[in-house]
Amino acid sequence: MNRNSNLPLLKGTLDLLVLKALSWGPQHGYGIASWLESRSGGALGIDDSALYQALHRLEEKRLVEAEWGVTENNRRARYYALTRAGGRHLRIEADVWGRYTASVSAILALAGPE
Amino acid sequence: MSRGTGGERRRRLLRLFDRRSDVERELDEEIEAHVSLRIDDLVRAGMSAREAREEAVRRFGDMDEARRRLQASARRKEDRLRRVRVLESIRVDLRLGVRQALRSPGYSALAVMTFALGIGLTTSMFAIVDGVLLRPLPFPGPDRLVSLQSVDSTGNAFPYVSMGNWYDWREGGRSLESSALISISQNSATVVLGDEAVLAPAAFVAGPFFDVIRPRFVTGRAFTVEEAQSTSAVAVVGERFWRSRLGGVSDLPTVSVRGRQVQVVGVIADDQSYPESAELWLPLPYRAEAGAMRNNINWYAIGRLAPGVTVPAASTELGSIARRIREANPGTLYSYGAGVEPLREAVVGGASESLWLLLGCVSVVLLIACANLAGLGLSRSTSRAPEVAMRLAIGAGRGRVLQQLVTESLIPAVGGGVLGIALAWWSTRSIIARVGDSIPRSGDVGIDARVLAVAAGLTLLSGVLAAAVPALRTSGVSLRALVGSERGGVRGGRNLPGALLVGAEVALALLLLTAGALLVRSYREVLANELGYDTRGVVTAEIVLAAQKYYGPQNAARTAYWQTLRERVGSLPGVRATAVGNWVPGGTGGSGFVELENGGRAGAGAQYRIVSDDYFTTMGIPLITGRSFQPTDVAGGERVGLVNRSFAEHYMAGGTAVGQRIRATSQESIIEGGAPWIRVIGVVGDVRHWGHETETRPEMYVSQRQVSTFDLALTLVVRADPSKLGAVIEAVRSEIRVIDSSIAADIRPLEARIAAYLRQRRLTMTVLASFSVLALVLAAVGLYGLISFAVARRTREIGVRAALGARRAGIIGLMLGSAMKVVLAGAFVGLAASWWVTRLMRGLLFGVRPIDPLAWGSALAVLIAVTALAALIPAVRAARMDPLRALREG
Repeated sequence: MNRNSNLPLLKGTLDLLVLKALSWGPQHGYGIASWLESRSGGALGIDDSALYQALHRLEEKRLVEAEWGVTENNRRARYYALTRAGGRHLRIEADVWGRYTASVSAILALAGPE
Repeated sequence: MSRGTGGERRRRLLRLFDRRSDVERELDEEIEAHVSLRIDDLVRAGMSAREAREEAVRRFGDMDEARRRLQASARRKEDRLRRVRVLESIRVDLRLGVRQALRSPGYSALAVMTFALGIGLTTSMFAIVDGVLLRPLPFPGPDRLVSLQSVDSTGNAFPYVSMGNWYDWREGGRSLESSALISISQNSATVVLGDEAVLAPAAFVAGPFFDVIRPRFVTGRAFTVEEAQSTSAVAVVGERFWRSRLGGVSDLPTVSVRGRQVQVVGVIADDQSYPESAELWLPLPYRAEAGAMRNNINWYAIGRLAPGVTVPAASTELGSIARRIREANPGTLYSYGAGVEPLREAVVGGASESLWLLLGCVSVVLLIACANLAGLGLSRSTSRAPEVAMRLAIGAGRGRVLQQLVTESLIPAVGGGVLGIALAWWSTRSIIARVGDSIPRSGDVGIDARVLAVAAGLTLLSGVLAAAVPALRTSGVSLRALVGSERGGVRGGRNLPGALLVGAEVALALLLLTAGALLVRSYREVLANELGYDTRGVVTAEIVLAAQKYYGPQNAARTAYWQTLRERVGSLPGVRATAVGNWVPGGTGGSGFVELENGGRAGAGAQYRIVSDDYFTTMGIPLITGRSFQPTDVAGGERVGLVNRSFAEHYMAGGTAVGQRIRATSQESIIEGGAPWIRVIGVVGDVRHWGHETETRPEMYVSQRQVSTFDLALTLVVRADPSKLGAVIEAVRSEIRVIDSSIAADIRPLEARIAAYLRQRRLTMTVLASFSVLALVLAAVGLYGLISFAVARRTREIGVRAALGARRAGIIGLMLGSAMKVVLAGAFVGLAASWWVTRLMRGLLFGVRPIDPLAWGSALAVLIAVTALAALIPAVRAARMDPLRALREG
């Protein structure tokens, strides 16, 4: 994936996006990856490897939990689900993110001196 | 999402050949799944399979790096999970266990108390063994400290040496870095503090004593060999003495020791005393000349091995020097050889055998306690069987059930362990406080980390031991057996494990009973040894005339002192007779060479006793033939003396003793003109000088009036009305103070002095006997439990028998019979074990052989009587059962 053509991901954002992806229900890694791709219209450059690292990190923090399951086309895959703590984390962080981006956007929207 | 089951079995099978860990495998599987899913999608979108794979891998990014990181995090997670799982299972087990324990508080209390008793007593004994026998001596380089010994003509080693031999060993040998002597005969010193004279336990040391021991000084320094050799007036004191008698001042004072002002130069820390009892160390010069007084075997010798020298090597070297000495002095030596023993062993001496025996016995008690609890657990496991069978049936692993059962029984064990440590702490302290002076090194005994670790180990071990049998049995039940039989699982069949446990208890209890009986028999045998004198109502006062005015070879002040003392004490109310003697039973004593005028054995030795006229009647020593001393036996007249029965039998066999002439070549060698001939005027009975266990020895008695050279230190013997002993002791004490306040005396009832020799034996016997009683009670309780259980199990059978007309006696006989089968089998094993173990305790026996029919017989009789009684109670209960009820309920 050519990074220049994609928006670089801000630190910590990926975790938030993954949690959001899982808020619709348990999903395997590939499912999350394709959901993120389709929702962002391919604009976010996310390596699959980075995604898995995020998933495992979240699992260690017990924000998500994982279990083996079988996909629609009968492949074994590891399904991730939000834990209660994960849901709470998502709500708080989404709120923080919203206020943060709003403030940053508001400042950037001010007319410059040029 | 559905759970994967399809290929599960196949995957598991494949895993057998897979060397990756679970974590790595799962991870690889996950990544693989991801890539495949993407390929599927890409192909669906129209890519070729090859293109799709390339794209999928490319999109994944750095796969190796990702795998490495993911593995690390997965492993962390796995570890955490494993810990959580174990902790969780333990928590559940503990909760179940506590609930179980609370459900039957009586049983739990019994279990906790039994564990506490067993663990507490064992820990306490271990603490003593550890402090006395296992810990190194508290001095620097303790393993290099040795005791030097003499070896007599029969090859027996004894820990006393002569100064002459020591000097030669020291000069001729290289294996010792340093060595020194401690006087045996002088072990106390009169110290005058203000207007009070005290007799302080003292060590008179010769040579570089402090270089050998290297004790820690609280303040000041040791005295040097030069100071000792030049008889400087210096002393070292113990910390306790310094604090209590000298006020603990750092400016060390001079004190009056034996009538002389002596400068205290140093204070030894309390736990660093050697010899243990000493409070005062005083220098004695040694004669730096080879071979001086080789037969004056009057010293303990200690040494510090040179670096790298072993005990056997030093022993060999000293032995060869001793051989040279022997060859140069043929036929004149009492001490033939030399030996070296680690100082620790010399200090502990005979106590080691007793202590090991007691530790062994208390461990046996603990074992019996565990077996007992295991037996109780077995009977209780009946009620647990359905629950356990259900758990096993619904898929709990046998290991998991075992873990739970063991945890359950560890709860009372841990409770018992904690209580036991408290018990051990208390009992160790009270044992040391009460009988510490009959245990060497008792000051080194304490509950420390090492002892606590042993207690913790004992707790775990006994908990597991008590749990193992019932847990294995219970976890072995199957639901089918439970449902299949009307009675259910473990209720049917014989209780073989239970019978084995009780049999083992009986065997161990018999072992202890036999050992105890042997010690009791030995004690009685010891007491049956006639002392040869009557201790009842006798008070002895050891007195040293430690003041300048009494010194000198012929001294009127000395004679006057003894005269006045006897007159004043003799007129006290309650006093019947008084006498004095140099070496009175219960105190110092010694022997030397004697010579008989008409031949007799070369190298004959005898105890040498100086006594006043009334000594024999005062001590209650019978006169066998001839006469005793009388006032006409004056100084300057013909020297007369008496011998004892052993002397007459050993050296004068075939002739009459009275009228023969003998002389004390060792003791009287310092008399001008050599040892004079002494005419024997009578024969008296033998005495056992150091109590009942001492052999009777040849003895000779001379008159105090005729050898006034030696009366600087004598013992006053007072025969009093036994009912007024306490008052007489006090009166004697005050008379001694009134006559000369600078003289201190060691005043004690003779009975107490003699009893002191028996203390260790009595202590060992008492403790072992109480252990064996405890063991017997535990075994009886175990048997009672087993039979009660059998009665409960056989209720229906008993009911049938009763209904068919069996008589009560028959039913009692039936139950008793099965009990006694267990007892007799256990007793048989116990006897075999006793045969082996009692031979190991031969050194503690006196007058009985290890296989003593009376001891063994009485142990067996007591065992059978008590166990029969224990079995009779449930048997009678069984016989009293109403047959109808028994049939209905059984």
